[in-house]
Amino acid sequence: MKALVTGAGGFLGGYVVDELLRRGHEVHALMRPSRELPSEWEGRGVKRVALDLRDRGDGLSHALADCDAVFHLAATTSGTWRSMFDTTVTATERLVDTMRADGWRGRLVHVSSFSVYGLNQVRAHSKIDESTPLEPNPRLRDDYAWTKWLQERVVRELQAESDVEVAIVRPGIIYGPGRAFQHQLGRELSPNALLMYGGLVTMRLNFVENTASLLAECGESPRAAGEIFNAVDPRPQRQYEYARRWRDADPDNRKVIPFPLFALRLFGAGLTRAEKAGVAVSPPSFLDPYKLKPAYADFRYDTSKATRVLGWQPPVSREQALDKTFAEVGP
Amino acid sequence: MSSDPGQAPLRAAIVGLGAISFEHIEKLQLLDEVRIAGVCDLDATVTKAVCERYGIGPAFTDFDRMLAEAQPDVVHVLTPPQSHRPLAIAALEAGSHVLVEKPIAPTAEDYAAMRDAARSADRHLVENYNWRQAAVVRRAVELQRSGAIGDVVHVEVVFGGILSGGGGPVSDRDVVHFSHALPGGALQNFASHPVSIALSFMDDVVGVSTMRRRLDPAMQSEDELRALIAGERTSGLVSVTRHAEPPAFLLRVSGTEGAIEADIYNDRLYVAGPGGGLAKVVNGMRQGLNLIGGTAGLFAKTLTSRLDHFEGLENLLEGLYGAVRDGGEPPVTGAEMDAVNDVMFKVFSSEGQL
Repeated sequence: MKALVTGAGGFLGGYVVDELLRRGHEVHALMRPSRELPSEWEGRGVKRVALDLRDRGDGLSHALADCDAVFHLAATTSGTWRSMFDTTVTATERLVDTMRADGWRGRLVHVSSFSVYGLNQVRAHSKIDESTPLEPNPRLRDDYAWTKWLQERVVRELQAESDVEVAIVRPGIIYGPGRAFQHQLGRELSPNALLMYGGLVTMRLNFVENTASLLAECGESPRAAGEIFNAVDPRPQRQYEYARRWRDADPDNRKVIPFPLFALRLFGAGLTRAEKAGVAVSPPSFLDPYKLKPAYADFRYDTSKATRVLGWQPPVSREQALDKTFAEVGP
Repeated sequence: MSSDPGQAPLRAAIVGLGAISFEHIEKLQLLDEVRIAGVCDLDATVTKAVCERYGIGPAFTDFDRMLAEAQPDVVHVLTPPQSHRPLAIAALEAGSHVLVEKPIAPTAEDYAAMRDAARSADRHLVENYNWRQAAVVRRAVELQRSGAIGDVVHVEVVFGGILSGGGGPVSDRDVVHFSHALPGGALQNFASHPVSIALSFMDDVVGVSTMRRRLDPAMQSEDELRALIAGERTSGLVSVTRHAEPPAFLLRVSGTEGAIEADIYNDRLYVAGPGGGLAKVVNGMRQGLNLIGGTAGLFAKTLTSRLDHFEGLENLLEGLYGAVRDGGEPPVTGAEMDAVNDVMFKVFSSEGQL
């Protein structure tokens, strides 16, 4: 297959390009004009498509005409709400509109997010799978969740009414070498100090090579068309287990300071009640119960669908993934 | 604003859904007697999403159509400054009052055209100096005007924590941020805040001397500014800094009988008395207690979301809509805007450059 990868310059993008190459596909890496193609890709026949998805113009049409699958990874996780909106929602709408206008027929593998689920509406400890209802109030979540929710809606509309074969993957928290710290642990006080909220919360971790493998599988397998898959590694870990690995990678310098989650919850709930009673206070983002619960409630993640439907298994075990992630910093 | 159930709500319209627009929408939604009657952006996707998010509308992508259909009392012009002039003039000519985001215009000529249009339409034209309207700055101005520090000798304003690198739209290398195309680059996008604060304490300006430079070669325009403003008897020094840490917004007004010091981001203000006698000890103790109390208060405000960096916008909107409803002057006057922009255009022209 000839695969166009958007967001190829990003963290996950690099792994997806590698995985597609490993599987013998031709890769067109769509990267912002300011990004260079890594030299190791040049030798492996990767074609660079220098394009910013926010730009209008016919560059995208040409790029699509050349490919039979699109892996849509492009999105932004920081900046102002408007810059996140442009790079996540508007860019996706432009991609989808171009597919419609050109009558493009191929496979679109879209990278969504766990943040599209309505995790405030389900009880703690319950099972989360692809049938869990979507967030009914995305504007009450953070700007990332809001823009990813809107972005997925654009893709689902395409899935519902076009000939494009759409597969949607909703990864949990993607981690790997160079991206070890995760917000589901708590707050990063400094690069070497972690304020861990709670300790017992089950993290929805997904090792980046496993995410890339599932995405490639969704591009290849005919059974993926029209489907949605969650991507969370099996045998999930609790915060303290992951935090211990993070600390042990550099035990002389790194510190994990546990902070009781119930204190955050109690204070946040108190502020919310006071606000409703008319007091001029409201919980700041990190105490807002509506934002706390999706990150720090304990859920069970059922990720059997990808195995059931696609026959796919994550290639990297949890132990191997942790070894790879924490290998670069040692005592 | 006082509540009068007999009157129809004032109609607000917004053009330009950049990052700042959420602040305007959220503050407008706090005002009982104002209704958002139209929202406009060239990008239909973002317009629809924002209207849906806040339950407002209708959404427009055509500004003239919005003016005709929404019939706004006040138009908030929040687009990049290069488009302020035609949008503001069209709104004024349609009979609306206009609030324009800072900087009001890239050039003196654009600004003059907007002021003329406001005068001939007999409508308010207000530039958003929201930090000037923050409670802590208002308190400093009241204290100085009540004679708490005697006559002003010198004002210093340091404005940092802006233009941050990495990830923000100002450092985007692919879709270049509008501010870099201003005659004064990204600095011109921010300098109205400290200049409007400094001038609140000064007498008539007689000269300006500036230093502008780029310390970060990856920035697409200059990132450090010092402007020395000479008044008839007072002086002001305005710094806009990207590189100084920690990010701070500081005001110091030195008078013949004392000084006012304000930490604007952290909502803390302290008045030092004149020297002599036990002044060193008394001033030191007062400053220490102020710092301890202010920091405890800051912590409490952070935990309860009461530290609001757009409180000044709320104050400004209350004043502006009050003036539209009841007559009277809005919180930002034409004379103040003339003075601020006169300094702004001098700072960002080549004259007086060190």
